[in-house]
This record gives sequence, structure tokens and C-alpha cells, in this order.
Amino acid sequence: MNDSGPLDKKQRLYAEQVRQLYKQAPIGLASIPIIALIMVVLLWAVTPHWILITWYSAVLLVAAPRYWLVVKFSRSSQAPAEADRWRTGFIIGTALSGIVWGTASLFLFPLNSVAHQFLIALMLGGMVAGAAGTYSVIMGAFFVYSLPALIPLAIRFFLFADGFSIGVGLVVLVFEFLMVVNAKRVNAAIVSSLEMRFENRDLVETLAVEKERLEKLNTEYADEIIQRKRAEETLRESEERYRDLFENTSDLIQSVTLDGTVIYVNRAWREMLGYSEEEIPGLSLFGIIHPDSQAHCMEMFQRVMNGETLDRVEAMFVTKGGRTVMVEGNVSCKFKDGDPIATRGIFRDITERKRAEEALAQVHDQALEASRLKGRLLANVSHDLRSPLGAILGFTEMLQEGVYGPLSEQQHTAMTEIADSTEQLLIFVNNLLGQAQIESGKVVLHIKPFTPDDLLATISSTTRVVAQFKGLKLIGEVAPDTPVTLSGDLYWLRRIVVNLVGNAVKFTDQGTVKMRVYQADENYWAIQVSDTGRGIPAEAQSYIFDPFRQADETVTSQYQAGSGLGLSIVKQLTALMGGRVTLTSEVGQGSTFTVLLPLKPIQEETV
Amino acid sequence: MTTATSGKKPLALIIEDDRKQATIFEQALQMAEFETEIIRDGKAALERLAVTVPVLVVLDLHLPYVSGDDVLRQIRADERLAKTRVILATADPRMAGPLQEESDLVLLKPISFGQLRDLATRLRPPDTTG
Repeated sequence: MNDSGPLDKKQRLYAEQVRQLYKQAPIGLASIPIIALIMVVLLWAVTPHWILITWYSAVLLVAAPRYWLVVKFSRSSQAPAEADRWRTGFIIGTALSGIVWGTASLFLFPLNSVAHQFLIALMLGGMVAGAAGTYSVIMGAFFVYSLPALIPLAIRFFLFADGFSIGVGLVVLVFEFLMVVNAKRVNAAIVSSLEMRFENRDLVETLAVEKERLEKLNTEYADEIIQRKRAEETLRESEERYRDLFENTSDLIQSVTLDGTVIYVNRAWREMLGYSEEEIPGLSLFGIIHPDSQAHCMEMFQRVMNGETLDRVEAMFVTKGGRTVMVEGNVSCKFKDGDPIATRGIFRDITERKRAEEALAQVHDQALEASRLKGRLLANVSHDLRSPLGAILGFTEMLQEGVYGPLSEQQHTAMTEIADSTEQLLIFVNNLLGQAQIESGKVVLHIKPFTPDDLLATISSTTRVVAQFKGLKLIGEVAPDTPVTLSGDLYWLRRIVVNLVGNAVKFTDQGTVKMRVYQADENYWAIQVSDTGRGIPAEAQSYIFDPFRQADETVTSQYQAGSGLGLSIVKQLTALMGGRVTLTSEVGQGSTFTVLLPLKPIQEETV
Repeated sequence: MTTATSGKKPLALIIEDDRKQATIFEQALQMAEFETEIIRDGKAALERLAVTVPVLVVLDLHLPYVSGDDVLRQIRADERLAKTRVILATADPRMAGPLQEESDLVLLKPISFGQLRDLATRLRPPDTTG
């Protein structure tokens, strides 16, 4: 698009005129030395030679820079802005040329040869006529050439002052006038032709620009259509994706107006609650919410309308078929310009989970009840077992003691076996009950003063008799520096001693079972039971204190037999009292159990 | 139903409703040189304690009419019986702990004949030896 104004057009036209001027100049310039030479030759006979040579030199001198100017112009950028400068240069050259030719009428003019006078007039007239063609494109150039060239000629004739000469002078002036008129016409034609050319060019340019613009518009429009199609496609795909997610999720999704009218729901929602797509418009959520859940849901509605988002809320829905469905999910409110417009909810069916939870709670209650019953059963069983066991043990002991008369050796042995078995049974029953108490957390320590002798006295006479019967040395020893009285729960301490000594006697076939009470360090007192029995393999020492575990079955059957509760109870009771049990043992070398307890010594004798 | 032996031996009351257990206690205490008396229920025990001051009481917790711990509380409340030693016999280890405070000794049933005899011997007042 060419948006140049009229001024630009004028400038462009002018520049083109200047260009045309230079373009036509070479022919004229080339002819000048030839024509001048012809003139010199023709005047050679009538004009002094030095004048002719000087004049011809002047012609060449003026023509040379003009050649140079034309060559320079042809090599220049020919920019319109430079046009004025080039025109001025050209006009100066042309004016000089005109002046030089004009001098021909003054200095070359032979006063005595009319023929030569007319030759000069003819040649000058021809030169001006030629100039009317070549320089008329810029009228200024024509004027500066034609006026200096012809006016001196006219003056020369007027100077003769005779009627003929004045007439010739006037003819010269008329010629000049006609040449001017002609040049002007040519100029007008050229300018008009140039203007038309420019207009055409502009038109073509405008057309080309317009064509380009239209093509560009077309392309843009096509691009826009493609892009719009693409955007539509993307939008459609995106919409499809969201719809797919929305429709195929197993969660129940709903959007509900503030008055409870369902706006839209997804497929899972419809399927779960038994409504078809056609039944949804106009459906009220309050017809879906279970009566027991209404108040709760109204409250949730209020909260979300105040801007809260509720997570993991529970509600009960009723299906079209009347089935109750329990759901859990989150509810939030959609706002427009700060006003609530709809609530949205995403729920999942938790009916099964709720049932499972209820069932689990029931099972848990049952398990607790079972555990409680087990505890009570254990207590009752052990109580009911203890009474007859007590009688067996008591009467056996009395028989052994000879209360009912002396026994034979065989009878005595039999009594010992009975007593030993009963004692084992008793320890087991006690341990079972102890374990139940520990498990139920019902062990309460009652700290009271006791004497180390009380602990030694724990070793039952039956144990003593069994040890004696097996040929074992059973030693009870209280370290001499032990205070007379210690403070602790004697009842549970006894359970520790009974188990450790009972085990030691049971698993020792020969040698010694020794129980020692001594101060281990500043804070700890030790009850140590060592034996010379079978010992416990290293690999079994780590788990021998676990309930119902003895050294592994093969070892157990080989070395010992029992419930596996004794050491577990020892460990648990010790821990309850803030102490710890250590064991050093080697197979075949016996075992040493050391129970370290933070017992408080009492210096004053209180018992 | 009481069994009494004559002489200057210290008196031990055996308050126990189980006949067999009572017999064992009686034998053990007699071997420890006590004069023994068996009482079969809590009510009878309180009546008897109102008129006598035994050196030792072997008291069962589960008794007809009046429970053993009530009897124990009565004994402890009676200044007259301040020097009476009480060995509490119970088959319920859950009771053993709490009652340790009030009794001199709590023995968990079944109580060994030899153990009771030895303990009773130790509880005899020195001036009644013989």
C-alpha cells in the first residue's frame, strides 16, 4: 500500500524529470564537440584562428565537467531527495554551455560575411531546437541554455541597426519564443506522460498491495477457521474426557440448587438411587435424604452456604426402591459474585463398610467378653482346682510327716511322688491364673516389709522333700550384709521364687540347687537361683522367657517338660516390679537365673 | 463344732468351712504346739471371738454368713485382739494383695501342711513355748 501524499508524488515526479534530463543528456553532449568542430571548420576562413581555438577549448572545457556529472549521476542512487542537487548541477552546466555558445555570436561572428553570420544563426538555432527536445523536461534547463545561446545573437543583429538586421534579430527572438512554446508543450506532454506512468505504477502497486492484502486476509481467515476447529475439537475432547470421568466414576456426584432441586447427577448416582435420567429434572434432594438424616443434612447445607467445605461427612439416602444407603463424602458450595448458587457433593457408598464396622465392633465386644469370661473361668477353675489339690497335698504331707503313723520306704516314696505331682499341678494352676491377671492388667503391687527368710520359706516342704528324694542339695542362703527387712510385694515375689526353684529342682538330676538373696549393687537386690542341671542351649535362651515357649520341642522333650509359663511369669512380674532377669547357662553345666529388683531396704526391724 | 485340747498351750482358732482343709490346719497347728479350735462359719467365729482372745487365727476368706474379710475387720477393730496374729487363707490370689495390709500373713491356698506348721511355730509367743 503506497500511502505517500501529494507532496511525495510531486517530489517523485520531479526526481523522474531530473532523471529523464540526465538520461537524454548524453546524445546532446556527444553532439556538442562535433557540431562545435563543424562550426570552427566552417568559420576557419573568416574568423581569426586563435579565437576559434580558444572558443572550441571553452566548449570542451564546459562539456567535460558536464560529461563527468552525467556519468556520476548514472552511478548514483538517483534518490528523489537528491534530485534538487542534481538539477542544480545540471542547470549550472547547461547555463555555462549556453553562455559559451552565446559567445559565438559575439566573438566568432564575421562582420564581413553574411553567409557565415547566417551559418552561426542557423547552428545556434539548431542547437536551441535540439535543446527544446532534450532539456524541455526541466524548463529551467531549457531557459538557461536557450536564452544565453540566442539572446546575444539577436543583440548582435540589432547592433547592425539596419532594417534587415533588426528584422533578423526579431526573427531570432520569435524563434526563441516559439522554441519556448514548443519546449513547454513537450514539457507538459512529458510531465503528463510521467504522471500517467506514475499513476499507472501506483495503480498497479495498489492493486498488487490490495491483492496481497486480500490473499493475506484469506490465509488469516483460513487459519482462523482451522484454529477454531482445532479449539472446538480440543474443547469437545476435554468435555468428553470430563464427561467420561464424571459419568464413569463410582462416586456419586450431585449438584443441587439452594432449595434442594437436583441440577445434575452422574450415572453412579442415578444407578445407586434407582432413578432414570428423565426423572432427574425437578427431583428434590430432600425426597432422597433419609428422614433420620434430614436435620443433619440441613445443618450441612447451612454450613456450606456460609462458605465451609465439609470433608468426610456422612449422610443417609433412600433409593427409589426404599433401600437405605449410607454415604460419605464432601460437600461444598458454588458461589457467583459472592452469593451461594448451588451445592455440590461427591459421595461414596459406605453401607457395606458401615455394616463391616458394626460387625467388627460386635466381634470386638465379643472378643472382650470372651477374654473377660476366660479370665473369670481361669479364676474359677483355679479356685476349684486348688481346694481338692490342697487336700491332696495336705494329707500327703501329713502322711509323710508320720501324723498317721510310720510309713514303709515304698509308701514314703509313693507319697513323695504324689506330693511332687500335686505341687507341679499347683504351680501350673497358679501360673495360669497369674498369666490371666498379668494379661488383664489386674496385677497391683502391694509393697510391704518382708524378711529375706520369708522368701526362703517360700520353698515348699514338698519341694524340699522332692529335692531330698532326688539326692539334691537344696541350699537357701541370705547374704550376711542383707538387711533384716526389705520392702516389696511378697506375694508376687514368692511366685518368682516358686517358679525358679521349682524349675531348678525339676530339671536338675544331681548336684545342687541354690537360692541366694543378696545386694547386687547400690539399688538392686538379687534373688539368684542356680543349679547344676542340664542347662539351656544358647539358641533357646532368647525365647525361653516367652509365654508357652520352652527350649525348642526337641530340647524340651529331652531336657524338660512343663507348660512354659513359669519363666514368662517370672519375667513379666520382674518387669512389673521395675527389675530384670538375667540368665547364664551352658548345656550340661547348669543354669543361673538372677532376678534383679529395686527393693527398698528397711533398717529398723518392724516385724 | 470345736475340738479343744487342754493345757497351757496358746489358742489358735481355725475358721474354715472346708472340713478337709480344717483338718490339715488343725494337724499343722497342733504339731506347732497350739491348742486348736475349728469354727465353720463367720457368724460363729465372731461369737467365739467375742469371748476369747486367741494367739493365732487361721482365717478362710470364703465363709458362710459372715465373710472372712468382715471377720478380719472385726478383729482389727477390737483392741482386745490387738495381739492376735491372723493368717489369712485364700484361694483367690486377687484378694491376697489387698488383704496383706490388714493381716499378718496371707497364704494362698492350698496351704502346705509343713509351711503352716513352720509359720505357726514362728508366730508362737516366746513365753508359751513348751
